[in-house]
Amino acid sequence: MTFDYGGYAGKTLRIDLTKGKIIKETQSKPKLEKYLGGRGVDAKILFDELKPNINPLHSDNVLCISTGPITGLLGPTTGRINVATKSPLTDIYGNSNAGSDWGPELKYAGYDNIIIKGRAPKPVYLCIDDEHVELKDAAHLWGEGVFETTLTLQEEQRGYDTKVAAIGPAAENGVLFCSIIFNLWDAAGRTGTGTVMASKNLKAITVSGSGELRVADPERYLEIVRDGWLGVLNDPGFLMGEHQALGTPICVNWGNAQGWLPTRNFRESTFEGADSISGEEFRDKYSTRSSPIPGGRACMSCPNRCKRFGRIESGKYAGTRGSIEFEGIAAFGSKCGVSDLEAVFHAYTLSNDYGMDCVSCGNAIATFMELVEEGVLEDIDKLGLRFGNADAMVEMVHRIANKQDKLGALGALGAYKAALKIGKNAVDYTTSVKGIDTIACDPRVAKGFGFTYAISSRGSDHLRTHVVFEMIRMPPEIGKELFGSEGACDLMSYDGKVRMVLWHENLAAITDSIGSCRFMHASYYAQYPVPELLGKLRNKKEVNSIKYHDWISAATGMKIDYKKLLEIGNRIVNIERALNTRFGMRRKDDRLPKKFSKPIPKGPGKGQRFPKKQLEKMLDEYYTSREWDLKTGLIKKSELIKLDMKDVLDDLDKKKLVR
Amino acid sequence: MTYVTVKYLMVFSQITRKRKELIPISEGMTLQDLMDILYVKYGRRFKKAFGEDLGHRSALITINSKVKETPYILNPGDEILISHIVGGG
Repeated sequence: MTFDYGGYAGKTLRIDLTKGKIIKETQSKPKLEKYLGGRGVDAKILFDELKPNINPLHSDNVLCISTGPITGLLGPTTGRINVATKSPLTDIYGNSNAGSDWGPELKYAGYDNIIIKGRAPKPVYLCIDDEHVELKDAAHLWGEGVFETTLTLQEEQRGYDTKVAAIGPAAENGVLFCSIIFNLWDAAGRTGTGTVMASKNLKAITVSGSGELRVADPERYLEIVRDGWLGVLNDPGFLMGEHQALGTPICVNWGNAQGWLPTRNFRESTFEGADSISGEEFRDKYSTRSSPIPGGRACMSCPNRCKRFGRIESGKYAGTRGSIEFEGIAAFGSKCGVSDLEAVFHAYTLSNDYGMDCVSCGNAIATFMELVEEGVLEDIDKLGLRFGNADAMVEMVHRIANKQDKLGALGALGAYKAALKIGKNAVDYTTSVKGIDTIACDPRVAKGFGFTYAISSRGSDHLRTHVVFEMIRMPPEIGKELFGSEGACDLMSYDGKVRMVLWHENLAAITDSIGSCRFMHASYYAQYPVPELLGKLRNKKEVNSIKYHDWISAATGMKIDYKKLLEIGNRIVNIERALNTRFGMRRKDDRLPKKFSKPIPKGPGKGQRFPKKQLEKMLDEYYTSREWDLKTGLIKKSELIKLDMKDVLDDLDKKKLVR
Repeated sequence: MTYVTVKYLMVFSQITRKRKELIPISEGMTLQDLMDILYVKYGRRFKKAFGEDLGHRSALITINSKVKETPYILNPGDEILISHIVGGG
């Protein structure tokens, strides 16, 4: 039976690991109309089904893995997959997103999403082969790394046609920030979703699908998708080869030149060793013919090809092979003051194989290095834990993954919880917001990024908005038109940044919910109405763009215009806020770490800081626009009514969690 | 003989097959003069990579971390960075 809406596979897989039960449910149409899929639907499922006060590692925690309506279809980037749960790292809403082709495969097998509860009595993996779904023994895989697990399962099943989502031994050991890694290379990295999967004794999920998807209006769909493709291919950022050149590591030298490359745990924002760990260095030395995928790799239906691979041929780390991303380079490199790219690449590869989030792992090590240098933490395991010590950095990756010795066990908690345990003033040296540590862009320089870290629903993170808008010298007229201020285009200005963040936040919620990639609406700005505004400015007669509203409409048959699209984005932001409200998050938690109120000592960002007073002012404007209570940060009843979220309102009202 | 250092990022380092080099300068030489030398030295692909038709995403040239216009007169020891404008990582 086909599902009423096009684009979707139409079925949910519900897995109870405790009872070994597998149920196939038909998707809820009203839920899809309101939340679309992916991140939106996952947040709503958690709101409906998760007991707020449970320990994230309790069997009652819910793990959601979801695609969106355009996942697996033809179109500019349709390969993303969303994962959500209560995070063991932050104890609030946990969520992460990955690329690859695992999500499309799930839909070809006939399912849009998986909801996992309970705990299997012994290690298992979930095997999905079209209609045939079963839990299989994973005793032979328990303790194995992500790479070995993935390759073994592919060998046991349909080879490369079987797509594998796996966790590594660090998750089994209870490291709080573990990832789920999709098909060897793509991590749903942040917030510890892999740790939750391990707590359920679920080692992997394999998917093989041979079905097909239909769209509601094929003719219109092709027109819309063609427009979208041309929008990307003609985008100035795409034309100059932003990601094709070096992948995301392109940001190392650029971030350093702009003065926002976090260095020595954000003590500084320029790194003297940046060029040695740059994308250019990786390309020239390691991205050779013998690397796993020499030309780089793209996710499903993506023109961008941002994944870069390499191999170390000789020396201490000979044999290291795999992919590399900017965030990992910064985490193990500049943040730790390490300029040895081989050590950084090795640490990154180890982190992936152990199944840990490279950002949280590198940040924990960098924080410890600073704490030791400042005399707040003793180098109890005698590792020589100081900024710049590459050997100590690599050794710490092993120790954290295995919770070995005191520092390894501390590091496994992540920087913030470790700092709480260390006591004294250790927390002042962390860069965490809502319990998760900051990514690789100094918010004292990039003000829109900074504000995003403060308000992001999963804690200090840029991907809730990805406001690259402020970094790429957009014409000031566009900032004025879209966000009411030319300052929106100025990296170090606060002007217009709240409106810029809001727009990006609503749109990012859509991107994550339909299964598309952030780079299409923020990096390339191929998303309506930016190309149209740029075209007008340059007197261009013909302009192409991605129009999510038309794309979703043609795929599903829903009737969504641009206004309604942003309203759905707003609803998704609000369901996440409602969820976090139940986890105890309030205005006091929308903050920036103390570190960022201190001025940057040198480089292009010299003197820049993000004062608390400024943040409070921006929060007032943001809450007012969102219709959240200024004092508490709780959502106002009127907003939930306006967004047709009466069920959410009723629940929060009962608990006195609305204003 | 006095020199400036030219650093090439991203595709520019691919085209020039080097990440940096020293270029001799004479007194009164401008940034435009230097660019003309580089256009000849590295050819059509190098010039095209500047993407003059790309508007805000055209290549960026900074001297000692500051954006300078082409009439700028070079000084010995200046560090010139040739890069595209990126942001997505």
